[in-house]
Amino acid sequence: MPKRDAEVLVIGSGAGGSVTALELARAGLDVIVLEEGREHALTDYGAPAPRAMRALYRRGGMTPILGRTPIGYVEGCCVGGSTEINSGFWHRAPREVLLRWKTQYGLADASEEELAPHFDWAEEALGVGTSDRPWPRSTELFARGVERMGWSYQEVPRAAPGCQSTNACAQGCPTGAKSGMSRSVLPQARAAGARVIAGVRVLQLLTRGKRCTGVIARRTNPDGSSELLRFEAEHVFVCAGPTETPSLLRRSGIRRRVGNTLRVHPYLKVAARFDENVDAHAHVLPLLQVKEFWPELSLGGAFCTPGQLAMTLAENWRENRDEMRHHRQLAHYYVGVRGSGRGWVRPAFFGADSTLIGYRLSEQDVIHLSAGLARLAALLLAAGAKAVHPSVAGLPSIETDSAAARWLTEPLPKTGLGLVTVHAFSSCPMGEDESECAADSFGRLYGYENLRINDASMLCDSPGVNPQGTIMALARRNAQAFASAPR
Amino acid sequence: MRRAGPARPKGFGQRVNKRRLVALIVGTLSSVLFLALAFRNIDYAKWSAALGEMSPWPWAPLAVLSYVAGHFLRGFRCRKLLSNDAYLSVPRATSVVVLGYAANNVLPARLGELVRAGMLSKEAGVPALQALSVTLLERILDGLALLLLLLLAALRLPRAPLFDATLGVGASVFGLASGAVLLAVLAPRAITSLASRTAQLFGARVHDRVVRAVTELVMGVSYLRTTGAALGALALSVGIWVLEGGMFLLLLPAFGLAPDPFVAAAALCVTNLGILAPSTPGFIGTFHFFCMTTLVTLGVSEAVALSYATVVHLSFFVPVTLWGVAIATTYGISLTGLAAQAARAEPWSDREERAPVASIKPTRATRRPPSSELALLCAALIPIDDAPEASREEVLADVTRFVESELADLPGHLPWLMALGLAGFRGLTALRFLRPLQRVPADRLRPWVEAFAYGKVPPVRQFFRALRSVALIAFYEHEVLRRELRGATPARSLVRDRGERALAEA
Repeated sequence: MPKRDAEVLVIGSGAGGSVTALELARAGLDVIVLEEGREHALTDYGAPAPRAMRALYRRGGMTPILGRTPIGYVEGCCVGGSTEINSGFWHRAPREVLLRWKTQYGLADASEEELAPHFDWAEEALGVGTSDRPWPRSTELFARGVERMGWSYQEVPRAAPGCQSTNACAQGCPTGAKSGMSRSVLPQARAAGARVIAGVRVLQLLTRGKRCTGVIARRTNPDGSSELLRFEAEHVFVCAGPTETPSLLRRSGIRRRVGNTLRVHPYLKVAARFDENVDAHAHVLPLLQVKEFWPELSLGGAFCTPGQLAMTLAENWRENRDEMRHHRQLAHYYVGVRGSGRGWVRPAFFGADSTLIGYRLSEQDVIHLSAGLARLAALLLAAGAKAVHPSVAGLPSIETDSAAARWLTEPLPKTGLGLVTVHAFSSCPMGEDESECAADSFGRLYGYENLRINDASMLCDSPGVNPQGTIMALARRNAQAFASAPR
Repeated sequence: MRRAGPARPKGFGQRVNKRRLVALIVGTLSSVLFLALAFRNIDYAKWSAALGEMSPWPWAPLAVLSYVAGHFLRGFRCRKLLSNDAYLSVPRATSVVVLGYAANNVLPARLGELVRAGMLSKEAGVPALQALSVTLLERILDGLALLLLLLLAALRLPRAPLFDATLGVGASVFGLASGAVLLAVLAPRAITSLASRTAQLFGARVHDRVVRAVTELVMGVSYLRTTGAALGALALSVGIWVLEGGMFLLLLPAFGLAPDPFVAAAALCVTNLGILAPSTPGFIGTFHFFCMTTLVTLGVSEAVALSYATVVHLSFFVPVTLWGVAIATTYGISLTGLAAQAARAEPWSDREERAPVASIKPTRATRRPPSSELALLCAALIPIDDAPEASREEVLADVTRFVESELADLPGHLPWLMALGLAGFRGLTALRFLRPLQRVPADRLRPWVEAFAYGKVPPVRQFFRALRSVALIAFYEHEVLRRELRGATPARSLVRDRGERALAEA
């Protein structure tokens, strides 16, 4: 038997990788987790955005998704991955979505009932629930608008028990209240025997025939020097996230159905000015979402800091810059669409080791964003906003219902949209339909005996809701299926 | 029965020496051939007369001085090319270069290049293959500089098949080599990845060696990753050869020839490109033939041309060899030691296995002030006047630094596109204001920048979007600004207070 470093290598420690490591370590397997980012103490979290971005985000925060309408994308690059910098909003995969995945992609054994125990487990592990604190003003105003429009809202459960409303989720929760993987699942995985090695970027998978024999990785030392290391294992789980997983696979010569079907939830943000001090920057983001128009679009609240407000206002900065003087009266909301366009992920040929991402925004997405903006603007005006500033270049502020209603029938200018996203997935979809999918229903890559994916990249297509819950439930199901199968 | 002897590098005795022997024989035959070609029509009386009529003073010492100065510049270039990974002082780097040249004069088959790589590896503490890669890169830069100078000379001198042929052969050889270097500079990951995937077929041991070798070779050219650095290295190389050309130029009047810099450049380039052909140690024969042929092509008599070539060769050979011997003595290296140094830079097959596949030295942190042009752009994109006057400079510097680091971290080819876009913007600004961007007054620059950043042309707006978004977030999230916006309580301490309270409660 050849000497191995571990029975299982898990690449990445985000929502997928951490759960995989925990389940496999609990099953008695020898597991090594390789994480590219660094491990941070709680005291490092909550730093000002520029410093937090350099420390916790991939490429220091700026990852453009290329296309005719470029989209700003961010993802975490630290122990815990994006769960360290997201809002902690929690959804289960809707029944409708799971049905679609079953019929269109042949995803087996992933019905709502079959996934329920995994969701139950994850919700308990992360302490998912609604807030027991009074709503911040930005949430109250949003609720008022929804009620006046005659729609319904739901307070979205969050994986943040005991949230102190520091509004620092995106910089890493400094109170430790948010259940990022580094505070929730990974400690359990470590207790079960998994070894987590931070600061190690996997550069290449080593394959021989139908087997993956290990990886070549670069470990960066604190003095800036680095080493190329070889790790060998019986089984490899690639859980590097929706962009890095396909990039790594393609770099390693694995291209079949890999990196051609990226989906994202494009978000259009608006800054709303009220005639009272909302102080949105001093509290947690608005906790409500309107799912009245789901699955095509959803409305909700976005992180609000002066910097983020300025970025939204910047699409029409010459007209809007004075609004920053009233930043206490501003709050930040979004229109999110399911995203029917398709994107691609490729390892960059030029330059140092990096990944290029592209996305083609569909006409349908634009129509939905336009209608969503009309509805969100009407909602905010009904809530008492004096002006709604959309992140669309050349679009004046919306101050009346009729100005808002215009976009119900008229599409927004595609090239003027200032879009962002934090949700990307489906770059290596899984399912039994080999003509559509890169991996089988449990994440094993077609053509390989011991190489699996288990992160956001495996989702069949856009779930239309915050994906962390779905990723964790599917990752647990896949890991348990692997652990219980004869090897 | 064989007696146990002292441990020697595996295969060193047989395989390496056989290869050297073949090179020595080929080189000697080649040298004899070129010497015969050089001397075949020579009237020895005229040749010795020309030598006797030479007026060495002050030309010969000046020529040697120019050549020696060129070596210091070579040392400086070597130091620059390694500056990402190691610190090497100019005198030390010059010593390494000179030792390589001296070794080429006494060892066959250009073993001096390997000596130089071996010494460089030892002195700079970088892997042997990286040092070899740097040495090869220096040679390629030399080739490009020589081609450039020859092209200039050929444009001014009467057209000659010798120049055309030299340019053609040189452009093919160095064009190919430059293409390979360019690929290694622009796509290092793609090359390593391809090597890794190919080498996987031959097992872990071979794979790791190949990956290590390719990684080290690619690291050797990493200095050229910015356009400025690449152009700077090329400019230095041209400077080096201009100084070496000084030797050729200063010796022309010693033989009563007009000191024409283009004639000297042609002789320099054809000779130095010509001695790429195999020859004996010290390039005897090849050097004389190519130097003499150039001058004969330009109308100089064969006897004078050969005399000139002989003296130039001596000026080239003697000082650097003596200098090299002095350095070798200082370092305590013998001739056999030089051969061992060369073996050090042999392919990695003789080295011991190490735990990591490859080690990569830290890139030396260059704490530079933020780019002044970018600072001006940032100042035009952010409402810097909203910052307290006392802190404006600090805030702008921090914003610029952040923007700079974000732009540098863009994936793939995007940093280059961004640099290209900024260069275009600089050019347009210069055209519009008839002065460089740095000298445009702030009150005129701001509306100009805003017309691009918030204008109606989508690609231009998108280009500036990256800049302005990052600049704005860095500005408004700066601690000074947040303090200003929120009143007395700094954001960080507010977050910290709540965080510590929650931790205490827990």
